[in-house]
Amino acid sequence: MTDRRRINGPAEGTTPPVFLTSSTHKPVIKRSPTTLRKIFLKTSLTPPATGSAFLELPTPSNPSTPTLKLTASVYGPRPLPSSTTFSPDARLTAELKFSPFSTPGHRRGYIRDGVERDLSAQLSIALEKSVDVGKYPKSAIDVFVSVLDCEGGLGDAGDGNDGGVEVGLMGVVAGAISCASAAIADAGIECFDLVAGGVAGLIRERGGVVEEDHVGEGMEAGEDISGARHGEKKNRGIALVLDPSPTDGYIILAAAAVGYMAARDELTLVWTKGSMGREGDGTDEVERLVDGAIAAATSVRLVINEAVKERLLLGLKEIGLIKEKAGGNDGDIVME
Amino acid sequence: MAPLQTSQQTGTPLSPAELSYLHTSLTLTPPIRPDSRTPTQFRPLFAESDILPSTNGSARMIWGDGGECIVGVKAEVEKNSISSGGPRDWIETNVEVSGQRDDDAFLGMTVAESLLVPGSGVLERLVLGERFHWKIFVDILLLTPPLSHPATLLTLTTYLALRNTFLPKLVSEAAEDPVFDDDWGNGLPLYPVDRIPPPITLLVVNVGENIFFDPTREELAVGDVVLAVSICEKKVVGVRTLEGGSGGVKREAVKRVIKESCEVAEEVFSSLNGVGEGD
Amino acid sequence: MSRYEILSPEGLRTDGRRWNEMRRFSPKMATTTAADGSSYIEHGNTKVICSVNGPIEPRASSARNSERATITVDVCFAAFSGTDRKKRGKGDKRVLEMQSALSRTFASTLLTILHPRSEVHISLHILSQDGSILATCVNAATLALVDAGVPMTDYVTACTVASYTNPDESDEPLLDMNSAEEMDLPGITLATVGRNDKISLLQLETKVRLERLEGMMAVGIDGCAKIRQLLDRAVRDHGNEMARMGAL
Repeated sequence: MTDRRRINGPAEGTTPPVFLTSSTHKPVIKRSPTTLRKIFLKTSLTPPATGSAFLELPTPSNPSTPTLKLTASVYGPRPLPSSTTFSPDARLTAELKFSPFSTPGHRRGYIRDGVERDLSAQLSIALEKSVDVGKYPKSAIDVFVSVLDCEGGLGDAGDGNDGGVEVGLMGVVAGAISCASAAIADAGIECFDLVAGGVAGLIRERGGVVEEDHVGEGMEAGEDISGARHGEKKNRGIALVLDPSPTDGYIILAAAAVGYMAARDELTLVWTKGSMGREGDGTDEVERLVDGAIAAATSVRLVINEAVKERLLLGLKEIGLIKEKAGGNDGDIVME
Repeated sequence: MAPLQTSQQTGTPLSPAELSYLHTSLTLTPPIRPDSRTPTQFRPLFAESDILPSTNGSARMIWGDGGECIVGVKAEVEKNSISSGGPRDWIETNVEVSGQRDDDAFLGMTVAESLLVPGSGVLERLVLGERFHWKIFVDILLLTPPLSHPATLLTLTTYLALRNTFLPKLVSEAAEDPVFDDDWGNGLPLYPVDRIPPPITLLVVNVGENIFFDPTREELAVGDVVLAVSICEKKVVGVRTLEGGSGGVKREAVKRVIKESCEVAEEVFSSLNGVGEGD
Repeated sequence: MSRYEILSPEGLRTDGRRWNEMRRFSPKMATTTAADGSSYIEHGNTKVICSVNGPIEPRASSARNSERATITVDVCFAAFSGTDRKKRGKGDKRVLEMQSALSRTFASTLLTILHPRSEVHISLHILSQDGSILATCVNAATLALVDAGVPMTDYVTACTVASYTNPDESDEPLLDMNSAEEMDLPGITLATVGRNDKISLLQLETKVRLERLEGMMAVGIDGCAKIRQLLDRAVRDHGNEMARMGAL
């Protein structure tokens, strides 16, 4: 009597598939710790949205290695639903969603989990402070960020845990802030300033070579970056990395992500992980990290500026306000 | 009195004029808080620990405004498995807010992040021989009405519960299945006195030049920036920005908030450690 | 059946009680200022916190009845309350059943007719479970309702009774089950209203011989009367305390 209620395997059995174990060696770090990755940012790619943007970090040498790709779309200002109570300001909501295929290694479910809710809340805090919500009474501004691909390091089961702080989520938040801010600008919503997201991390430095402190885990990165830490020598032991990626293979002691409005020199979001103390010579690790993350965000801001400007000039050209070709490259906006 | 239906985020029942008055009085030197506290003074609270015999550690804390938080810590023996996320999964935090359908993501993440900070040494104490480990469940029950943000209350209670958490003593060898000492008196503390204590999170609001600890909802509404700063033995283990305030904030203000939190946290630690001794 | 004796030949139960003895029952009233009424009851190792808000404007339109007040009950088992950690969702069948049993019990005792188009919301948190959960919930809710000043006819008090079968097939009712007894013996949860033996809730989840039921109910009614005395004393003590503090 066969059990027809469930799907049974073949009676004779099968051989389970055997996968090659992925090579365990850490990728070679090509960047110096203080160099940011290039960013591709383009606005107005989602026609139905009032404003939208797409952000992508460059594909690493190995094409199968994941990278950060996300889209942001902004709807509004539009009337608040009739069920909501009166609001003298615009209500900005932000929703960050990971696509099921976005996480490397395993599929992510559709159901909104704690991580997504948390990141959505942080994103909305970072953006809300930049938008002039007083200009749009009784309105809703809805921001949707969809993560298409990310580099891992999200603290999920299955991620390699090597004793450091996971920076994947911070990278996602920072990218989402930059992308969403560009999308808000693209939507023509009045802002105080554009917000750029930046991430910085602290790593242990030893003997002139940035290295992990865990014995037994070989790391091939040492020689490639030996020329990179000239400015950090005075703070013995701890080095700053800007824009760390989970695929870099650093053991990160502490990390910070900020939302930064460069023109006003103001922060909209501060998020740190990992333990930060005060060093012997009085320099505060928190201050170093926050300053580092701000420096990263300042560089990212240039990319957002270009992306927003490109779209703006295009629009002006369309309506005939600019006749000749405007300055600036009209291809991909690439930050060096 | 009907419970206020507004959530913590959607503001206070104060008018713009009242908020402006409050903002002005908080920016004065010295600042004047509505409840006449000093900037670093906390609201009075009642705390007790070891209230639930069926848990490994528990604590209960009640604010004067009726906010109540109960934390129960339970430990279970679990087999090491490769498929799980490793030691990061050994401590699980859950925040249940009474009357809310969803667990609170922000609070849960804040506690979990600061507990799992690398180098705290707690994960090493959960190892049981070669094949097993303790799994710690930190269940936080908030019976708080939305009168003030519960972050401070919640982490102080969690601190107290974790400080009073004891695990049975292992008597078997490393390679064997774990066997424990039946005598609870021989239990080992999860956070021994001479080791790094569990972290606490302080809610800090910055208004103009002034910094306020343990802010009420009204104070949160007029703050420039609201930060939740997690501190563990003189070290900052996490900073998060909360909703509230208008516009951005200068980096100097953020740094000052964090610095001052460290100093206040010292006092909080010492007074919390006094809770157990008073009983 | 079980490794240990539920009732020793000397007539002692596992925790040293006799058949008609209850565990330590300590009620506390007005434990929090956040709700209109609140209570905390420790019954042996069973611990329940209750808070009552009401009569308030119904939070959901489904709770609006133009004839009478609606009673809504939220029961919440803390994940750490049992021996093993277990998280019960809001939709758990046992929780839903408890909520409906409690809501119906109090609907018959509260003077809901006095507050039409209103809601009385009872929220119960079980912090530690060691048998007689539903009964403790009833007692905690009664105390919190008294604290909230919701008009009601009389105290609703509840207790549990188990039926133990002696080796000689004779039966013996055991008052106030703990979790070990609840696991092994058939038992009833019984709630009465006021001093007379009006039963407002009777729950039997296992099977028991019909002729035993009457004996169990008689013991249960006596137990409820005892709990009524204890609750009444808690209320009076609280009232005296309030008067002493000058609140009245």
